[in-house]
Amino acid sequence: MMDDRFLGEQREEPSAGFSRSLRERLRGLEDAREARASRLRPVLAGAVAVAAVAVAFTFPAVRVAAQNALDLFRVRSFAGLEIDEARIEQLRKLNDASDRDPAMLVFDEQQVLQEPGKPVDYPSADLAASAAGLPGLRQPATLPSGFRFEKAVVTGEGAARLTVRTAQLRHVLDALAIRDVRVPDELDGRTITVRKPATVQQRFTDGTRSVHVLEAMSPEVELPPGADLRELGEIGLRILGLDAAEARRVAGGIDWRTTLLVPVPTSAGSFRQVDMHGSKGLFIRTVAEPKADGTRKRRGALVLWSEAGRVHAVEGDIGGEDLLEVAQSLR
Amino acid sequence: MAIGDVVFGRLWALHPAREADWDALYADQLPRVYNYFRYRVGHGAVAEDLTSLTFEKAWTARHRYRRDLAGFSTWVMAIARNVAVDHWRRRRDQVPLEAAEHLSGGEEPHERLERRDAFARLSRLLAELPEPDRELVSLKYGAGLTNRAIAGQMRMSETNVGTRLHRIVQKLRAGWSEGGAA
Repeated sequence: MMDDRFLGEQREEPSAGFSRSLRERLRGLEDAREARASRLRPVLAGAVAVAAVAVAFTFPAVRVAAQNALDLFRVRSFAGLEIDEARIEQLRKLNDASDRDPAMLVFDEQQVLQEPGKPVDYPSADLAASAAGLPGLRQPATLPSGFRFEKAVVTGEGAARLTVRTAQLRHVLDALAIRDVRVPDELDGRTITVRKPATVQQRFTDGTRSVHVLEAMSPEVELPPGADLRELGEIGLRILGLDAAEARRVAGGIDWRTTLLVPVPTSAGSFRQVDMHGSKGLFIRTVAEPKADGTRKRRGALVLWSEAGRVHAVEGDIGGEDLLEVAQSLR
Repeated sequence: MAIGDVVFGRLWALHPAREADWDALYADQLPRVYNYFRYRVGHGAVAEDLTSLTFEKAWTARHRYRRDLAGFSTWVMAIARNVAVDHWRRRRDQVPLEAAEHLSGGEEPHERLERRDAFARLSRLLAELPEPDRELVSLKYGAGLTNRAIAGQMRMSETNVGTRLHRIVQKLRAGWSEGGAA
């Protein structure tokens, strides 16, 4: 009987062999794409994506945070933002041309108020916590098979003051052909102060792979009084490649005083929101990267979240699900 | 709406099919696309080739996939339809009777052979339909799309899709009863 049912019943499952071989071919395309992307990936992109942990914890990366949108704040949540390779390349060229720190594209000078000093190794997490003034430092209850504690590293507090130069900001916008953005004149010469608290990084390894568990009080940034964060955030989003409408919409939806935006290049990885102990976390899966010796660093993952006034991150070159399990086990 | 939802919502919207999702999406959409081509061009290697081409195009263009504009299924089916158009453009001088070419005789179990015979006969009937009608049947019964989804794909009203499908099925039924394309 020729009817709907008959017509639908003529469907059949693709053969397992075909399904498998196509999937493998797609995997091959993926690897080729990753390799190509890795070759192209600039230092800036690597710093942002692979070491996104550093956005919250290391001094240069806090500058990156400031670069993003002059946000500031105490970090209470993280949000990933996909940025296009072409825009990264544009920013990199701009930076090369100016021969400046990437984070200093829109700042005139950086005055170091407090040097964080060199990192100090400790043989136990408890000792490191005590040195960093982080009582109750969390430690993982679960680790991948074969992993063991290696050391805990403490980096001290640091602080710096940055001065905004509207001329530089306009130059960047102009170079990116963004001509419909108004840069507030009153911003010129205003300063922001970035304070990075002491950080403890616990390192675990199985001899070849490693997992880092980081914890710190939230970095803080003092903003110029009366700064319109939404407006500045919108400018930052335009610089990162969003079109005017999107930048406006997103800027209006972000609490710029509490949300740390983490730019993730499209080729560098993928990200998603995850629940971390009841807080919203940002999970980023990173692709393999070339190392100086010509080999490729393993694919990795990291998860960032904020909880009870502290910022946490777990990063490692292990599977994403394994990494999330480590992060979820922090006690 | 929570701030995080706004931010992440937007990011999900723009982010291409992530690797973690890709496996699930692939598994979910492969039968749909494959059967779309089976109904469109007949059973056989051609349907597999076109399915492969569709997924390769989707994968390499995944950074352009925007969740805020279309569901993944809609996006992949749009690619599949373009692949089909290109295929027919290249083969304009050929009659799409791959189904018949792929009929195997032989040692298959009786039921399977019967099933293949039925589909081969159906394919020959489909091959006699005007292109737009065959496209409708392929989207409906091959890809398993709803009339609403087909309406979106073919820029027709949902009512029109339903009416046309009804007529096409009647036509196929008549052809089948008369032993057409047997």
